Parts: sequence; structure tokens; C-alpha cells
Amino acid sequence: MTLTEDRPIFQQIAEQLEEAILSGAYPEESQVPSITEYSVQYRINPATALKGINLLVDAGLLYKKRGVGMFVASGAREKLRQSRRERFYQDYVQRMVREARNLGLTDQELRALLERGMEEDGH
Amino acid sequence: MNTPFGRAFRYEMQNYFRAVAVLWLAMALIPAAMLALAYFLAGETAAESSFNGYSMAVGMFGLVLGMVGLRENQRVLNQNGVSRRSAFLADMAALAVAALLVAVGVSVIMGIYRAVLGSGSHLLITDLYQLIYEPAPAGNGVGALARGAVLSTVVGWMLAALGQFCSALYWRLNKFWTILVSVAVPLALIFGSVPLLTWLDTTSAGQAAVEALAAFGRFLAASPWNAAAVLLAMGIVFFALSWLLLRRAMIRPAK
Amino acid sequence: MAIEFQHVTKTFGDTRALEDVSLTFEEGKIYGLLGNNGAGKSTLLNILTGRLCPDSGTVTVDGTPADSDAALGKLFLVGEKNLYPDDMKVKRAMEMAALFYPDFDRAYAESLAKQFELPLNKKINSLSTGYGSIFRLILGLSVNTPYVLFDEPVLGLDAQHRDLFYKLLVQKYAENPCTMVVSTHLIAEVADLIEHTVIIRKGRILQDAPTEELTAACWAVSGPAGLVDGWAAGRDVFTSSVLGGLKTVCVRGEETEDLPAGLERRRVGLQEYFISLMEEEDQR
Repeated sequence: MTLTEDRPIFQQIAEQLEEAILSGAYPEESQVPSITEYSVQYRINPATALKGINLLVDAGLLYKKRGVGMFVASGAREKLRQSRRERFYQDYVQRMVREARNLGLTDQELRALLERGMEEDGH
Repeated sequence: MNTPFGRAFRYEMQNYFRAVAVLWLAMALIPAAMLALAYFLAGETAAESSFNGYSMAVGMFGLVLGMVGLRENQRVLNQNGVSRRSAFLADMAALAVAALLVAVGVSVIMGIYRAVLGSGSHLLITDLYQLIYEPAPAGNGVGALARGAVLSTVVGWMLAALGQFCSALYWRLNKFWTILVSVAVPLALIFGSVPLLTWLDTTSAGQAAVEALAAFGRFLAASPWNAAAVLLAMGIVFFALSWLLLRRAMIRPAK
Repeated sequence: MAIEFQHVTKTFGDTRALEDVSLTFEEGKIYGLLGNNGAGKSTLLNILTGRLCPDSGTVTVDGTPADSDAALGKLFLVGEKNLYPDDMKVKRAMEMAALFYPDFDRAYAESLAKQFELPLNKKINSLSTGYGSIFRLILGLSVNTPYVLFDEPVLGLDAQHRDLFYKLLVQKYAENPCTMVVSTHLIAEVADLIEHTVIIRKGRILQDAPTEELTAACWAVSGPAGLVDGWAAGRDVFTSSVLGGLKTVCVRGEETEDLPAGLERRRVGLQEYFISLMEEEDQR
């Protein structure tokens, strides 16, 4: 992951962690990289890395083992899927509809595109 | 010794000691070289050559060390977390020790030469101290050498203070004043000396000044301790002036 | 425990290098001291380390005046220029650091020298600009004082070495939290490293705030010129630029409401913020 300027860094760290948990790259009950490792890897201030990690701690996705480090909580994957499902409508559907309307696509055209997308990705 | 002052002193001694050793070596070799040269040129019939004023060597040594060391030391010590004040005090102490080492070392060397060569040799080693205070043969003993060493130390330290003062002065002067002073002082000495001497000679005030100077000279010559005290006081004054100048100087890299 | 500047003023001839500067560097943070060349950054750091005397005001380190042994022993300045004697070798400079700074990590310094390929036996004055900087920054990273000050630490360094330096800086800070002040005009490179930003211009402090606060409160909004003007009316705009019919304005404010259709908004990075701020000041 390379950092971009368009979103706060701590948010990007959090998102990258979430992706890794979802995809299974960081399995549940496994250790995630330390603050130091994150800071050094991305050349960012440790406070920023900490802020990003804390977002996940607050959401119950990570927990801290004293003296050892940060671990992925069990059930984190499912929790993430759940919250993503809840945000799906806002993040994707609403935006898609707005963009389609901006471009002047009719609702019918939009539905056709949706069908096509579902078919091409396989069931 | 684990204070910034102590560490600065240690650092400076490490530096100065190299110069001290070089001077010892030079003072050890030069009379021998002179003797060898004399024999080489004229053999047994060589006229007596003399090597005198070795305390001058200590003085020059002090002067140069004082001049050259000030800014360099303040820079590098500041970089290593030592305040100006501690660096200055360490300098004062290190210069004193260096002057002492040189003076004692040189006296020892001269003493050895005298003892080895004996009287009536082709090389006469004398010193200003002897000329003024303890002329030969009485002045050839160890006691005289030791007293001479003490006086040389003070001379060296005082001249180091003078050297530092000159260095500090140039440090604070900007380019314009540096040039002005560098030109004006020699000019004043050259063109001012004759009028000064004339004034001393012809006016009554001048005569009084000459009398006072002569009296002062007699005071100095009366005992080496008088001279030592006066030189010590002068050294302190020059160091104090240096401090006043360097307190607000800008520590910047050498160009 | 902090470094405090109180109403510090310094004039050189007829130039005001610093004008009534009051500033605090608290413990355990990485600060960025940002400004153009000649803004006063070096003067500030030189006063802090006793190389210059302020005309007025006070500077203290943990309560003790700067240019005292107590204060100077807690600082190390990785300066722009070299204060070591001409003929001193790198090795000897490290010996000195070990003598004067009890927490100096000689082994670490030597390993860094290897990483940067800095020969230990070279004379300091024979180092190139880049290697002179490398030499000084290695000392700064190894000295382990509570406050480490970097004044243009990457002058002359190639991209790879610059990257290595930032990496080492973060690593050192993460493992041993201390206060680091990085003074630089390469803002984009340090933007993510500095927790707190101080912006100085012509001797005055323009901004002194957490970095996140500065960048969160600044947005670039662009779109058709007419639309942008309409939206931006009454807002705190600090620069604007036009490319054909497309206008972009930088505004201060929180991201609260949605933009009207046709307008786009994006975050402004620290360097862009800095440049815009300078432009705004230039126009005053």
C-alpha cells in the first residue's frame, strides 16, 4: 500500500488493516505488525500509526496483549463483514446511483449494467 | 572530572599535548644540532656559540596556542554540548598546564645539556631568567632552573592570554574594523614610536614617565616573584577581556 | 519538561531574523520547523544551542537557560554546517561524542556509518556536502539526548539516503521516544513524520499547531469558476488559481456539508497548505 494525500494517514492504516483481516492475510488470533514496524515501513509518525490501530481496537477488531503486541480478535472477520454490509448501501449503491444520474443514464440502463456486472463476475 | 568542564579540559589537553611534545623534541634537538654544526664547520677551534632565551620558546608557544585554539575549541566544544563558559575555563586551565609542561620540560632539557657539556664547552646555554636574576655560575643549579621554569610558565600563560585576547578581538570585529585595526596598529607603532620617544626624552612629563618605567623595571628585576606576580595579573586581565569579548560572539563555522 | 522560547528577538544589521518568537517544544514529540530559506529557522536553532545570543527574550531548556552546561548537555544540533576542526577525522568526532555524551551509542553510530557507506577514517573537511550531512545526522541519531535538533539534515543526500534517514529517524523515535525538531524546506518529505508543525516566515511564527489540525482544516475546492465563486463567497479563502474556466480555491474550514453539484473537494497536503499560506502572506 502506498499512502495518498487524499485521506488522513491514520484512516489509510486502519483501512489497510481491515482489508488484511478480511482477506485472511492477518488471521484471527495472530499478531499484527507493531506500531514501530508500521511507522518505519511507511515513514510515518508512530502517533499516527497508533491512531489508526486504535480505531480497530475501539471497534473490537484488535486487542492488545501486554508485553507482546496487537492481535486480531476472534470474530473480527465476521464483524468486519457485517459492518461493511451495513455500509455497502452508502459506500457503493448511493454513489453509483448518483454517478449514473450525473452521467445521464436511465434507471433501465443502470439495471442492465448491474445485471451485466453480476453475470461477468460469475455466481 | 565527569563534568562538561572536566571533559573539555581532557579534550584540550589531548590536543595541546601533541604541540607540547613537538616543542620538547625541538628544544632537545636544536642545541645538539647547533653543536654538531659548529664542530662540522670549524672543528675544535670553533668559537663559542650560544643558545639563549629558551624561555622565549615557551612564551611564543603560549602565544600561538592562545591565538589558534580559541575559536576552534569553542566551536567543537559547543557542538558537543559544552557552554561557552566551561569551554573558556577549560581553555584557561589547559593552557596553564601546557605552559607548565613546556616550561618544566625545556628546563629539564637545558639542565641536562649543561650537566653533560660541563663548563667551558663550545655551547653556552643561557636564558633571560639567568641574565636578569641569577647569572652564572650560581645560576646553573637545579634551584635556579626550577625557579626559571616557574617564571617561564607564567610568561607562557600570560602570552597565551594575550593571544586569546587578540583572537577574541578579531572574532568580534567585523571586516571593516578588522582591516582598520590591522592597519592602524602597525602604522601607529611605526609612525608613533619616534614622536613617543621624543616626548619621553624632551618633556618633563616624559621624563617622569621614563623614571616610573625605570622604577617598574627595577621592581621586576629585583625578584623573579615580582615579575611572576605582575605577569600573572596581566594574564588574568587578558583572559577577563577575552571572556567579555567572547560572551556574545557568534559561534559559526570557519569559512 | 520542554524547550521554551519567550519573546525572542534577534536582529542582524538591519534584518529582523526573529521577531517576538514564543514557542514550546514539548517532550516526546517530533516537530517540524518549516519555512523558506532565510525565514529564521537556523537562527532559532542557533540561539537555542548557544551559538547566537538573542537581543531580547529568553530561551530555556527544562527551565535552565540555554547556553549553560545543563541545557546544552540535553541537546544535540545536527547543523547545516560543520563545527568540527578541519583536520579531525570522523572516528575522532565519534570518540568526542562518546566522551561528552554519556548515552552516545558508538556501536550504533558505526553500524549507521556502514549503512551509509561513510568511511570512518576520512577527514571531516574532505567530505562532500552529502556526506557531511550524513556524518552529522549519524551523530544526531546516535547521541540519545532528550532533544535532538535537525537543521536541514538531508542537504545533498540522494533520494535513497534521504529515505533511509527518515526510516532511521522514525525507528529511533519509536524505540526511544525523545523530542525531535526537524527544520527543513522539504515539506512533502516530512509531512507524515511530524506530529506538530511550526511555520515560520520572515522571523515570525505563522502557525504552531498539530499537523493533523492544520491539514484537516484546509480544503481545495474546484469546479467552474462561476460556481466556485458563488460557493466560496463569505468563506475563508486563502488562495485561488484559475486554469481556463476551471477555478480552484483553498479554503479554511471543516468538512461539514456536501458540496453543490459540479464542485469537487479534496484534501490539501501539508506542502500545498504551506505554499498557499505563503502566497496568502505574500499578497498581504
